[in-house]
Amino acid sequence: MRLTPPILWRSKGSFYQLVASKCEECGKFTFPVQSVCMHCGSSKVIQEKLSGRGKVVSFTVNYQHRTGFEKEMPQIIGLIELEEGITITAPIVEVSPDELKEGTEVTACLRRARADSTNGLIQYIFKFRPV
Amino acid sequence: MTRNVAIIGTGHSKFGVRTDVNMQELAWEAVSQALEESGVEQKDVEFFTVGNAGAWSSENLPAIVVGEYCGLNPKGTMRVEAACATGSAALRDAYLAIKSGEVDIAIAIGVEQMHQSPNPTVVELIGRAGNYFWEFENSGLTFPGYYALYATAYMAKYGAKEEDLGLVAIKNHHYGSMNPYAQFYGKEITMEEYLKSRMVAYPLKLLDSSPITDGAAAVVLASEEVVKKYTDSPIWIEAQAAASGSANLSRRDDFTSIEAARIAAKEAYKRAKIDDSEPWKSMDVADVHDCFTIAEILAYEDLGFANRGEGVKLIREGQTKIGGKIPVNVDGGLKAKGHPIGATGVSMAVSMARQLLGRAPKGTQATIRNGRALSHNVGGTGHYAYVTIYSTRRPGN
Ligand SMILES: [Zn+2]
Repeated sequence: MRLTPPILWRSKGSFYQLVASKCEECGKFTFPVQSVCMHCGSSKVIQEKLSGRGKVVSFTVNYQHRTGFEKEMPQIIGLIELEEGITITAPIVEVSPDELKEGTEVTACLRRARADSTNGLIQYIFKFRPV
Repeated sequence: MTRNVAIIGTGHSKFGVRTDVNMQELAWEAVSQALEESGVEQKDVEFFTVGNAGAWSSENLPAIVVGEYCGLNPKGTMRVEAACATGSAALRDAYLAIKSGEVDIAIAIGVEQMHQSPNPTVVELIGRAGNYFWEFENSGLTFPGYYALYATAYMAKYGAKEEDLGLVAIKNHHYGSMNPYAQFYGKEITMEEYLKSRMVAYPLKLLDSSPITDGAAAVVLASEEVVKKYTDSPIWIEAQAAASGSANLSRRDDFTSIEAARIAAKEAYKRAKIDDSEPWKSMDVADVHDCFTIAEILAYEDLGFANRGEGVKLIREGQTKIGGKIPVNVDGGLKAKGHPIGATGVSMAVSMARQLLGRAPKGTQATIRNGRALSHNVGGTGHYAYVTIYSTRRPGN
C-alpha cells in the first residue's frame, strides 16, 4: 500500500491508537474496530481505548524478509492477548527470543515502522515490549 | 431432490517449476488425461470450473483461456478462488452443478503457475492472507509466520519437538519420492538434513514448508444417471462440507487447532453417516493440507484421527504411514508433491480416486478395505476449509 498524507491522516484513529469496539449488548470487545459485534452480531457498539497491556500467547522469529523490512530481520512477531480479552498480532521488540515465552507480560509502544522516501513520511506502528 | 455424483476420470500434470509451458498447456496436460480416462468427449461436458488463485501469473481470465485451449467453449464456466483451498472449491462448484440436477457431466480443473512472478512478489502476495493492515502491512509477517504462530503454541502446549515436525517432512518426502508427478520425485530427506535446513519463521524451517509450485489437475464428474455409460468403477463423492474462519489470525480463539477444519470435518462425517468418534476406522487413506508440517499434525486432530494434543503421537508411532492406522499424504502431500495453490484440492481428489482404484504409484498404494478416502484442504491459515469424502460404493447403498 502506498503511504500518502491523506491516507495516514484519515486512518490516524485506527493506525495510531489501540482502539477496539465494545458491544453494549454482550459486553465483549472486537478488534480491529468494526460497527458490528463479532460475538453476537449487534450493531450497538462503542469505541473504547485499550490499555495496551497483555501477555504473549505465541510468537515466531521471522527470517523471511519482505521488501521494506530488511533492516528489521530477524523480527519477533507475537500473538498477544490484551487485558480486554482480545488478541492482536504485532512485532515484539527489546527482547531476545530466548527470554520470551507464553505468558510473558508485554505493553504496547509506538515505534517507527518505515519512512517513505518519496514524500518524506515516517510511519509509526504499534509494537510490544516486555514490561 | 439431489442425486449422487461420481468421479469418472482423473488427470494430473507433472508438478514443479513449469515455466516450459503456458497456463493453458499446463491445464491441458491434466484435462486431456482426465477426458481420456473417462471416455468423455469435450462436447459432452456441460459445465467446467477452473480453480486458479492467480495474482502471480499473467492470465486474468484463466477459465476462458483454459476452456478455449481445451475445447470446452462455449460451455458455462467460472474461475473459482478460495486461497489454498481453491482446488476444492472448484471441485465443489462442479459437484454441486451436477448434484442440483442442472447438468450431467462437468469438469473441475485446478491450475496454477506461481513461477511467473519473482519469488519476493510471491512471498508478499501469499503473506497477505490475513487482515491487511494489522497482520501484513504493520508487522512484516509472511505466510510461514502465521503457521509458525500455530507451531509455537502447539509445541508449548503439548510438548511437541522439532524432530516430530521433521518426521512429517521425512514421511511425505519418502512417499513423494515415489510419485512421478511430485515436485520432489526421487528426493528423500534425512532427519539430519531436516534439522540443518534454513530457518524461515521459527520454529518452521525450509524443510517444514511446501514449495512454490506450478501444476494442474482435473477430474471429470458425472451424475449417477450417466455414470454407467462411461465406467464400471466410479469413485463417488460421498460427502463434502465447507467452512470458514476469521480474516484476522488473532481473532481465532485457539492456536493449536483450525476451527474451520473441525467444523467442515464434523459436517462431512455427518453427511456421510460416519461415526465421528473414530472416523479413521472407516477410512483407508487421507490427503491432508500439510502446507507446513505443523498443519499435518493439526489436521490429524481436526479430523478426529487423534485426540487434541495427541496428533504428534500418530506421527511418532508411524501410524500415518502405509500399514498404520490411517495412511496420510502418501502421494507426497503438499510438502513433497508440491502446492500449486489452485490445483492442490483437485490434485487431492485425483490422488484419493486413484488410491481407491488401486492405481497409486508403486510403493505408495494404501490397503483398501473400506473403499473410502478423505481429503482435507485448508485455505489461508484456516480462512477456508473443505473436507471431501470419496467412496467406491454409491451413497445410499
Ligand atoms: Zn456483542
